Amino acid sequence: MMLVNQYKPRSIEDFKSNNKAAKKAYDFVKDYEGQTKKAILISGPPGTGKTELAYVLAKDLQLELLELNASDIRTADAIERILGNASRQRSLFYKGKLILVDDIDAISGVQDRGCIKALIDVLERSKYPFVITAIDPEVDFLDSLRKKCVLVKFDKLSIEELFVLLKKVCDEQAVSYSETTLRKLARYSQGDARAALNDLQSFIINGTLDIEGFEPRLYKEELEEMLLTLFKGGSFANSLTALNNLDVPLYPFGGRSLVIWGDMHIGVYWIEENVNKEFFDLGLGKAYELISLSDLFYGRIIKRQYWRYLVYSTALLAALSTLPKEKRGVVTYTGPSRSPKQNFRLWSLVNRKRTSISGKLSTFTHCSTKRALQTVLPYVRFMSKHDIDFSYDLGLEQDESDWLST
Amino acid sequence: MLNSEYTIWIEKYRPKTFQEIKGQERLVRRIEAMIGQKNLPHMLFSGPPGCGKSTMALVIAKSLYGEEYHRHFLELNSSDDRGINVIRETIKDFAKIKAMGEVPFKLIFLDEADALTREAQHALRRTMETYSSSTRFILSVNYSSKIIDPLLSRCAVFRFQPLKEEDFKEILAMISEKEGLTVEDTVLRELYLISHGDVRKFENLLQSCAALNKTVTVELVREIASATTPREIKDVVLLALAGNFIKGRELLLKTMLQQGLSGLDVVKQIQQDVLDLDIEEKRKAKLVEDCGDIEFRLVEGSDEFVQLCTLLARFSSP
Repeated sequence: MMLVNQYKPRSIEDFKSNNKAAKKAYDFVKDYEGQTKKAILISGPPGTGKTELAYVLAKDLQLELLELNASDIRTADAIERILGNASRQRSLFYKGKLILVDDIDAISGVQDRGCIKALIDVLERSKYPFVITAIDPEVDFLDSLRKKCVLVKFDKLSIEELFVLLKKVCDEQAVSYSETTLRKLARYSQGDARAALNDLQSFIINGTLDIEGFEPRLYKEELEEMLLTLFKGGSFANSLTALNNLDVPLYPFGGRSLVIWGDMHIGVYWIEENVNKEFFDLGLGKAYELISLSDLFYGRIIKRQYWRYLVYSTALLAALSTLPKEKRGVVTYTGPSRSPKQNFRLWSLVNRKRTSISGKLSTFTHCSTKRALQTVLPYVRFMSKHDIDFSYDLGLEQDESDWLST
Repeated sequence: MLNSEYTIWIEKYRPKTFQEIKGQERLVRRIEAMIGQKNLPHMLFSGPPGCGKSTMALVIAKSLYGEEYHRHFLELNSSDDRGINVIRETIKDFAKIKAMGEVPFKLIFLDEADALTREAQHALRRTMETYSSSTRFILSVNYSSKIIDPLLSRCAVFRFQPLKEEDFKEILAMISEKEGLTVEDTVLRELYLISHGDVRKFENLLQSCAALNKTVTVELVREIASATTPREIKDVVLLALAGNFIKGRELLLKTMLQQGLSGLDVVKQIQQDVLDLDIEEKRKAKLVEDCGDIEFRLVEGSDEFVQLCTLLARFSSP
């Protein structure tokens, strides 16, 4: 059972952060007869309960809910066909009807052209209230619709509200957790209850909440903004500020990092990952020189604990903003391909196996592990693949000889 | 009996007596003379990999202590047995027990001693002095210049020569006879060139060939040599040189993950691959210089992948 479905808001009282907005919508629908406008437009970020509010209203006021959502084809014809008659006919089993048009701003392209107009036509002739939801109500094509609606604005949920929700879920589901962890989850989900619940569910393992390896949703946007400043015409000074104000570390804390590291929210990983989308050939070379020198300074900080170097390490990255731009246009930035956790697992697994076999080889052949790795292992592996079994001779474990022969 | 024939040749054919050691006749004479007097100084063996340093130490131990040599002989590897403290403790425990039998000392073989830091070498010097009444040390190094003077002055230095083609000829003839191999005449040259005079590589390569076919031809040798040399890193280099940075970076990451390589593994491999490239000398020299620069930054810096990609970016921008 998805927690998201299980813990939907059930009454107006369940809306805490958006209590006023929910109340306004409730009053509007309840007193629909006395309203001059025929619809409410609920806008707000994802996961704040816009759609759920419509369901709650329908239930509380015993209305039949008619829904038109993004998966329905929203052409002018379809709107008239689906909603036209329904919005004028009486409900058979309920006191009245509530018509929900979900995610109106998901309308796109030619397919939906004319549908706003059709929608306005329908709602002006409707006997029943409309609830329309949108993430961003300010988009141009909603101008005409906006005038016909009572506007209700939803905000991100507060961390406290999310925390209370998550805590309730954990208590009821008998999940053991620490409050710090729950707060982290609540904070990372950026006021999005759906995300918080989904994250929560995905990190419950055998009745225990373990968020190791969790990717905060928050950091991604922050990192993308930093990249925009750096690559899309921000000044050197602005870039420096963007890098300094980053909430995530610019470099992994502590010692040297291997190819892959557990955490992907590291500034330099994002910069390195996306630099080849902005620079080419000679420009790419120059960009990499800057990153490389910056990293060199960071390495020295770590070795000598001389933190003054951080100024230069950061400044060298900010200097990326001063390189001539080779291509303008929309670039989609991606998270680092090198850092996901499973990569690290794979790497360390192979690395460990190689090292353990080489260790045995080295004892057996009187040389160092390193030398065994370079000058003995490749041949032993080759011969193992050709059905020569050294496992008895070398005292190899089953998994080691399996790795050798595949 | 479980597959005793499937033993690694480098062990099966490791020389067991001084007479069997190839290519170091002068050193053998000196050492045999000292053994005759049942007295040895501390010794330092220097020479390239696979020229018989460890073998010499093992043969010395056997001729001093007989087949029971393990009780009097400690083999340590400086690059594996990390930290001078570990080494010191091990040595202390081993040296504490007095030597029994007619030889008045025990023998400690410290392989790859050039992997020790200067501080560790100074510590080692103290240890050598403390236990000099009951132990003798043999240090083995690739470069004696990496050993501090006070240590050098305490050791008799033996410089090992890389094995020559004639030495390999004898080894090849001996192994072919025992393993029943038919070997083309030109194979010797090929094996010799590929193994750069390293017996370990030479015998490993030969055994890999024999695993496929008892008749060893030059083609077979070449085939096996390329099959046992990882190709991916070379492909990364070629992609970068062709200006395809993005593909090169992708393959690099994939290879590092799948083979569990560290940044240093990769940069060393790239540097070797560059030497074998078919490009003009001037460009080659520049690429090697880039490798050196990046290896330095990789050791000094913090993020290996950033540095490796910088190298690729340099390669891909002419």
